[in-house]
Amino acid sequence: MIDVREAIEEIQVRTGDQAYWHALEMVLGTLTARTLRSTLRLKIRGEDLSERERVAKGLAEIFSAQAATVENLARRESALRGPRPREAALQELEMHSHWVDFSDAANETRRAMGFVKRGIERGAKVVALLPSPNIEAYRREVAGSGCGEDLDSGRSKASSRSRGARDIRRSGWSERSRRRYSPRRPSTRPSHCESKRPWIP
Amino acid sequence: MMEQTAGGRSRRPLLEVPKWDSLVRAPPLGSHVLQVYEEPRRQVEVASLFVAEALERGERVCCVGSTLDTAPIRKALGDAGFDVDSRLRSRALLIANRLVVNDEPKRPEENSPQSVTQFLHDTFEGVPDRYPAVRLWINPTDRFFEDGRFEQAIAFEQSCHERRDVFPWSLLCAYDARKLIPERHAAAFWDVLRNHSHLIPAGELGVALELFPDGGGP
Repeated sequence: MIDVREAIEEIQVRTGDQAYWHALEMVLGTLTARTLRSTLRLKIRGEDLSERERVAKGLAEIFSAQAATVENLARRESALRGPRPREAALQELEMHSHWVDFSDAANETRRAMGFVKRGIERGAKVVALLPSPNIEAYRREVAGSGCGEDLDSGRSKASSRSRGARDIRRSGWSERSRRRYSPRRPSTRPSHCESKRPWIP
Repeated sequence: MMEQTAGGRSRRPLLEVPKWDSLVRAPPLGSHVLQVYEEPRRQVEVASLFVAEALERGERVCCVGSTLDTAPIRKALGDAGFDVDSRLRSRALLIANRLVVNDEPKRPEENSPQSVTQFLHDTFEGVPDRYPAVRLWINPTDRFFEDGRFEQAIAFEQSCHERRDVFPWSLLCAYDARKLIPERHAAAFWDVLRNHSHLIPAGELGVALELFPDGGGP
């Protein structure tokens, strides 16, 4: 078992700082912000202060109340890009977003339920690709969360990862998307072979 | 509602931070504005508004910079309908390459105290009888960055800053941020900031920020 808590805390701190530097660059411009960051690192002393605290202190000196422009933007950026409570993040997932959720094997299916329920509430079809041993646990969680009918009707479907990947390949979707997103190459297909089915040379 | 700082100046709430164009159109007398730009287009945009507004108001304008910097401003003024040649002839508009007004530099050290004094004498000729005020636009980039003579450039900024309450003028200094190297210019940049009253940063918000409104003291 790998304990990722320390790494996550570090990522959270870094995300907050990055939002702050990003906000600084929005107000001052990239190059000025970077130079000012170096300037304030030199000017504002204090061994117990982080770089961000030094810069914030320096900005307050240079711009007085207007330093709030930067601080305010940084807060907004943090809210948009920074860490949020997990439940809130699951409620606000946007189309095309792609998330990684680290969990223990013991509670993996339970942690996914918020996401599944939210999808069903929005009228989406939910497909869960899981390791085969977890499928039964997933079905139990769905039934227990009051979405058993959706499981019966097929709106919520659990599939083993290997079978799911095979189904996707068979549907031709992966081949179509491969062709769509790959650079166009001269076709090697014989001209008399006209078929609408995916064709793999 | 305005809040008063220890220095007696008004403290603006966030929403009242002015946009750069309102400052550039009508800079208060004695203001010494620092513009840091990352795109030359932005330099011309700000400078031409600063100069055009002054000419409209009957003020004298002096532009100091390399031909590369002043030519686009001349063109922008022409495009805006100003007869630039006639303004130059009447000396309502002065264009200087470094500190020698409307001529090529004649001495290697144009920033010497005598040169600065001569420059100021030329610039303020006819003020306030013919011109109510003077606006000075200057791009000290070549002096500050390319020649590496930080001290001379900062000495000039300091002499302007100290005289800003004495003369009826406002100054706009444009610095090319693309020449800023964070490690190399970190300390000097502080001195540049200290010797200006407002900053027009290159950021997306297009604001003008007041520098050291509390006087910089604790």
